Amino acid sequence: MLNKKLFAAVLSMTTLNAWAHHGVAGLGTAGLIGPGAPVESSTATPLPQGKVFLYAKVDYSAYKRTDSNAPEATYSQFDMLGAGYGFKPWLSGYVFLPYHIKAESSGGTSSEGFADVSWMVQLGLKWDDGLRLQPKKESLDDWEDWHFTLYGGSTLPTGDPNHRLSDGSIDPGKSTGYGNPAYMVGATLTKWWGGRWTLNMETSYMMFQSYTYATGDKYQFGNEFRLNIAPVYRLWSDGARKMRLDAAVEAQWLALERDELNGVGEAATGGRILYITPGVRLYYDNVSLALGLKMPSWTDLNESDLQQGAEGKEDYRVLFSASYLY
Amino acid sequence: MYCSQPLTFIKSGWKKALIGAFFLSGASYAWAHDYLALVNGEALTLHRGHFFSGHEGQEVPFKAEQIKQYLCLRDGKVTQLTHPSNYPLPLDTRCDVLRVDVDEGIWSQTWTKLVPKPPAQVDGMVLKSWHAFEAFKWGKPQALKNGPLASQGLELVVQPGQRTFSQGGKLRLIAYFNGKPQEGVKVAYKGKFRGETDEAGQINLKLRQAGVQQISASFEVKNAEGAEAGYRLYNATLQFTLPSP
Repeated sequence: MLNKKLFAAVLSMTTLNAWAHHGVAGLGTAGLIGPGAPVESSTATPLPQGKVFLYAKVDYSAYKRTDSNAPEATYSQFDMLGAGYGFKPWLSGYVFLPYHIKAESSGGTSSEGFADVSWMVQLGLKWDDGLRLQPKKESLDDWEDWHFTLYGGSTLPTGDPNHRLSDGSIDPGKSTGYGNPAYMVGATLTKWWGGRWTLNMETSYMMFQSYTYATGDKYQFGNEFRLNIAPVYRLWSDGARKMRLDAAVEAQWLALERDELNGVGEAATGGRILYITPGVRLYYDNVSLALGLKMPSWTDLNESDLQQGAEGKEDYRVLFSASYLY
Repeated sequence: MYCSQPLTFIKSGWKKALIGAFFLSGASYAWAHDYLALVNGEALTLHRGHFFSGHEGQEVPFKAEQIKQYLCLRDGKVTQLTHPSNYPLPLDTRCDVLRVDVDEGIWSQTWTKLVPKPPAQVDGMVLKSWHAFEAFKWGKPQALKNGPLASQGLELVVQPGQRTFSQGGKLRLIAYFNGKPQEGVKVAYKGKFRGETDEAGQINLKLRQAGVQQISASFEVKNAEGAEAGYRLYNATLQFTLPSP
């Protein structure tokens, strides 16, 4: 029997959330004063052709407690290492390796380990007197055009879906793998007005497959829909120092479908959350660092009182990422 | 003496662009002379000076012997005209497109000053030296799709696919160097650095205001050891007028 707890939805939330790169590191001509990038959402900026992109992210999530005497989720930490490559000016590819820590208070069962590897390809488009592929080089005036990307990819079942907890049980929400690939498609939009302001939008849909665990139970995570909108403001840039500092506020809408256990809707899963994430991004030459505070500002969870430790029940989340382009 | 309108439109932001170009290229040539066609009564004349860069407003006349060619495109045919010897240089507006090439001579940058001499004739340490060439081009917008007019030096040409010229629209250019599209040419529009040409020599700019349009470009080539100057610096200016809507 599955020891189904409330981490279920949390498992997926950062595995693919960081697929697309979050602000291309590297201050070229456009980078100094061109369009900015938010902290977490993906931008409509494919990698430059022939360039390698390295990425690391830490997402620390502290949960609100409802009963200090009961074993409850205390925090999760979703770490991510990634690499990308610009195959064409309009085509980038990425791979990501997540590492998850899911901690419970005394008496609970925690888990930790490498999760499913994921991959993604991203197609860059722009509107310039018609729809066209992202060109290799653009002037600052070209960067004022509407830029788009379409992306898609999946996880690979490299993690362990049957990860046994300390009490011998299996909790899909604390497993380190889905068992089967989960697929994701998405789109981004970036608009820069030639000054300090940039608007960034992203939407994505993630689809899970059911998996039959070693216990014989068949479990399916609910699909996830995201819509992020983020204005970005260039606070400061210095060409001589090759530095730039942006501030951003992201509004992140997340709709989680209900999970299913053996074909039956699972209680205490699913719901809708609106996160607000203010943050800053600092560029230095080919390095980009981002720091944000992500807070659930509005929630409509299916069984809110029972969903301690799920998305929407965070006290706060701290996001930090570093990327490097060469 | 000057038509004030063209001078004021470019002043804004030019210094920043020059500093940016200086930083991006690592070169000192950002302080090169500016070329500007101005309306003098019924005539159009070519001026040289520091209209946008350092010493703003200071005119630096060139000599007749510095003019290396004076090309005119008219009725689809390019001809070499005999240029007048007076300054400012009268421009023949009967031409659809005009190109005037000026040899700017050799310049040497020291720690403290920019000297119009080869390094061998300069006291002290020379950081960088270059032989500068200017190709000024003026024309009627649709005719600027013809070209390049010359097979030597740097020249900006409007792409054949440019359908219209309108305020707020894109100006699609190709930078030709020695008759071929050239990548990596730095381009500024009305004093603001806008980017570099791609591998097809192409760059797009936005025509932000009606009136006189001034696009400048630069490209440098390293000379072989033993040359009189370390680099050859090619500058190109493209000027035309966009009617008000």
